[in-house]
Amino acid sequence: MPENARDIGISHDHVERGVVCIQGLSYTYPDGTVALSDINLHVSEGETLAVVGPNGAGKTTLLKILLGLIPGYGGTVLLADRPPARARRDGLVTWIPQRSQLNISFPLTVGQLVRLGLAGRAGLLRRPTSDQLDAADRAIHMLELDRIVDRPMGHVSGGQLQRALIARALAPEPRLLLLDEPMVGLDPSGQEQFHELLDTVKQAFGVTLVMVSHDIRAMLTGSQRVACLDRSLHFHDVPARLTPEVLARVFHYDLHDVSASDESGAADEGRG
Amino acid sequence: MFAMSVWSRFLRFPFYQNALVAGLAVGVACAVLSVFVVHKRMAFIGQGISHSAFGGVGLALLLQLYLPATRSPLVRDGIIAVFCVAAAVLIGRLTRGRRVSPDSAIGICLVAAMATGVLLLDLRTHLFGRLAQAGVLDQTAMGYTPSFHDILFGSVLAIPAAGVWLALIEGGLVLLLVVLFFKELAFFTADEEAAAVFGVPVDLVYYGLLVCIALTIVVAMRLFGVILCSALLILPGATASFWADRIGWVTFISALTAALCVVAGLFLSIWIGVLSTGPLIVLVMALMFGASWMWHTLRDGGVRLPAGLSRGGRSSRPPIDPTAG
Repeated sequence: MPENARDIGISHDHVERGVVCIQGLSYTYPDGTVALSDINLHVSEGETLAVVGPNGAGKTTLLKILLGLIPGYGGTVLLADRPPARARRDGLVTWIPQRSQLNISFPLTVGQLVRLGLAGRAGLLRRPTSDQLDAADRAIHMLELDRIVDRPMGHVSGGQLQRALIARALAPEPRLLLLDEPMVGLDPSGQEQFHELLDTVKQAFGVTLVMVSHDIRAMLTGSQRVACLDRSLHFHDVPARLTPEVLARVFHYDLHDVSASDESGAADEGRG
Repeated sequence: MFAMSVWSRFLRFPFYQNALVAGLAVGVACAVLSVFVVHKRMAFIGQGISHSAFGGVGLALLLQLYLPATRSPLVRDGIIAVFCVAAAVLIGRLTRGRRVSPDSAIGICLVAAMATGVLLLDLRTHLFGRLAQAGVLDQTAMGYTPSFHDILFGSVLAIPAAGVWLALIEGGLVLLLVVLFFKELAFFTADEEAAAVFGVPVDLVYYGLLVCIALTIVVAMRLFGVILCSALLILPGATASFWADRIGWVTFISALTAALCVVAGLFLSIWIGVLSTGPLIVLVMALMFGASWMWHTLRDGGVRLPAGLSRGGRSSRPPIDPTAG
């Protein structure tokens, strides 16, 4: 793929060691509560991993550690062979927030919003290079924002704005894209479309995806691997090997309850 | 002819010329900052820093009694600048803490500095009398001493020739910094959380912005006073929000608005003669804002506040269907 410039610069070493390499990660909150204990996780280039777990399982903590926003953890975390904070500063890791804090009244066009994503990658006192601007344009094109690039971001639909945020996250051509609860509020067909969108994006940008969610049902279809997290890692494999026993252990369900919620979920889908 | 007499009065009095140049320089610098102040909802922070300058003025005027070196206007400004920057950093630090809400933190700093300023000026008045009685004070060497009114609301007489240069240097510095760090400032203002994740040093941008605000206030307070100079950090940016949708244009229109208002207000005050210049400029700015608001209200057929002033701006919107629309 000639347009996939990311692959060209990647050595075999990177591919073997993985984009995400977590060994023996543990984290304890200042108040003594254990958030994560002895996590070992490996994500290869181009993979889509869904990290699922109940509320309070440490998903957000894990995400923040991957973004380099929480120091003081135990164990080793390497993203593309760098410590997380360094990887983030280098523009190798970006993220799509669950709830954006974006101030949509700020006078930016959709195009300008997407190009803001280059700010860190370009660095202080530097303009983005033409290659970087090209990548932003590719992201704009990929997310079908071409027709609204010059519209003020306050004057576009919610869906368009969300796509602009995805484009912003892709503009710096990250190796790793983290998504926080990406499926919340989507109906099953919306989830499916979103998975297709992520697939296209992944193909075009050669980016590795790590999604974090409490909604395991929404995560199963589009993910190559699933990691079940409840402070420690209970499962990390392809979705097909996920058993009700594992789910019950992670989500503290009775097996009986799991099947019950399956039925109600099926009923929901039928209605939708 | 009105125009002739206004123009000849402007030419006759150097302090008017000083006020014009300094007012333009500091007005444009404040206007450029105001775009970010308004959209980042830092208007009250500007208010807090400018009122804190009152404490700096009290300190500077008290020191003048005993330290001859502090009687030069530039050293006086330096003392006020140190005070303002310290207040800005303190306010910045407090507003980022979790224990005290930002508006409370600003309110506390504001009144503490104001109270300090008043007490220091009381002390100065008392000591000044004692020193003068004892005959140890060379009153002529004290130079210009601003009245309470001048400190609070500014004076066109308060700008020495050195102050013009200071305003030009300071205005130029702020413009340069804004141009150099434009993308970081824009990202920080639009979406601070994301800016941090995308590798923008947000703390540096935040404190840098606060220090710039503090420095412009030091220069602006001569003409506008500690009470009114924060108007320059709010009105131009708020007015410009009505007239453009792109950050570059908004910034330009903000600067242009401020420049026009400084010129209009100054010449109005020369013409009318009995009215203070700073408050007149501020009132012209407020009228510009009002006129912009009226125009857009009438055109759109409904009341709509400009982007930065509306309440619903910072969205904690419900999750959106990214595949829709």
